[in-house]
Amino acid sequence: MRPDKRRNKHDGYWQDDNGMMTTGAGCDLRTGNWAGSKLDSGDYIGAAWGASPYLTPYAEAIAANYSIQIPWYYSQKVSVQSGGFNRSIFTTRPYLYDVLIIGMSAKSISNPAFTPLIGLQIMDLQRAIPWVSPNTVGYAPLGSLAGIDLNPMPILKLPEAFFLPAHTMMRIETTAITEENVGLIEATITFVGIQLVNPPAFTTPETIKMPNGDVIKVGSRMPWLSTVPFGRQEFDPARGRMWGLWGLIQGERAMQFLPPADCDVEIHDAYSDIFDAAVIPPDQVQFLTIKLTDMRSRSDWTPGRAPATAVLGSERQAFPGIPFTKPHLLLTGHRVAISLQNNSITNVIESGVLTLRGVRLCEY
Amino acid sequence: MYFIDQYTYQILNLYRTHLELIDTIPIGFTGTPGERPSPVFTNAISDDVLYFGPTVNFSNAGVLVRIRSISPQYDWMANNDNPPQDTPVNAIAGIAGQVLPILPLVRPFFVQRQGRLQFIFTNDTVAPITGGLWTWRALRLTNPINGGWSYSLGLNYAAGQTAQQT
Repeated sequence: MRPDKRRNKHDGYWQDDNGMMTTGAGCDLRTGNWAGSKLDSGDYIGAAWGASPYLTPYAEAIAANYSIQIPWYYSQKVSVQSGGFNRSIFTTRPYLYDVLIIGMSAKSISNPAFTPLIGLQIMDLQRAIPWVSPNTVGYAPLGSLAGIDLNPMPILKLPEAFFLPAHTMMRIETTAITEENVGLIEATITFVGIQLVNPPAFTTPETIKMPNGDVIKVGSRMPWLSTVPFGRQEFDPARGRMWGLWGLIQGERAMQFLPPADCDVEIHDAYSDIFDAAVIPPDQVQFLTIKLTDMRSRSDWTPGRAPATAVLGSERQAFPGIPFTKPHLLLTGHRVAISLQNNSITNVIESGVLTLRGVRLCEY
Repeated sequence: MYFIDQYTYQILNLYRTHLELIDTIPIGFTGTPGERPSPVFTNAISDDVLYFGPTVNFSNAGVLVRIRSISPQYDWMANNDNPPQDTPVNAIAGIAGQVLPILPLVRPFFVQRQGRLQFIFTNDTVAPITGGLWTWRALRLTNPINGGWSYSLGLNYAAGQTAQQT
């Protein structure tokens, strides 16, 4: 038994001493084995807007505590300067009511071809837990978070609803995920959610009950994203090792690892910018291959390399994150190994990244 | 994209661990119009597998396919005209470059360990392709409970067991 998760058998379910989370992705968090109940994120798998219920079981359980629920949109213009590691930070204004953020959308202001290159790191200032795990890249491409422009999917559902407590600001850090100078990249991003109106004398629920009987804290499930380069950091003789200069030359292979997670993580789907012509010509994407392995299981997920198009989605598709067949539980401290190969004989891949999306399961 | 229905849950519940499985099979087209290469098979996996949905890495809906499961032996394609009309690949598999590059089956298909699916492909007669990869998104089911799922078990298997016990 892991020392940080002491549990008691209670009402047929394993629970912490204080009745906290017991399962993730339908698996027992002590062992990682299937718990024989239901998927914590619901029976529908995939983040396309409208292709599954808007509210996950977690979001549904929170919203059920509020008698008045109103649609909520928060739009903000973002501007990032490309051609270097330029970052800017803004905070949202605190809002009067609790909010559940369900999805995100984006509208290009500058050249739409470069909008997916906007990288985001998001957190709320009450808990300061970043949505994007800190590693080589540390930002999530906009396309992995939001539906963009008039693509097939104009709104992208977050892997899990984000509970933003009333009177809490969000901190949003932006950068350009490319080394190329394409000028100022501007877009309007919109958070889509539900404002939960709490009448006088109402107190925000501290815990909710999941469909399988688990009692978990409100805020203990939150979006998680992890971005790694598609390839490795390249060396430019003239400019040195630059931010965004990630690549894989013809016939080359590289390994990337997700950072060991500090919490259990449900990984839901995978996004990549390799479908952008600026990264590699569209007719060459089919020559990129990928192999994923959970280092815990020692059992490869793929007998051979799979075409990247079978594993990674883009903002041009109905499911910008191509879902795993079932959310995969990555236990605390474990890593996913990602082997990448460029089988193109004509083209280098440049500034390519891939983002795994999921749900972080933390108690705090 | 996928929906885990009651039937699928019953299968999942008989295994302690489920691992993502991405199985890619080369078709082996040589670029000859209307060619019919030798049948190709999914890789034999040492665990039971649930197949969720396929994808191909080329954009050509003129390619035809006929699928059979070798164990158990079921023919998926019902047309038995002479000659049989095989199924256009875009009715079964998602096509790379389209908005839905993976097309889920209406229900995941269960294959016991070492079992395989057989595919007989026919190349497009107008714009034939060369090579071609067929990829399945699937779940590998490990650590079975009571031997795991079997072809002879059906929906409400668990309910039947409970009724027998009572």
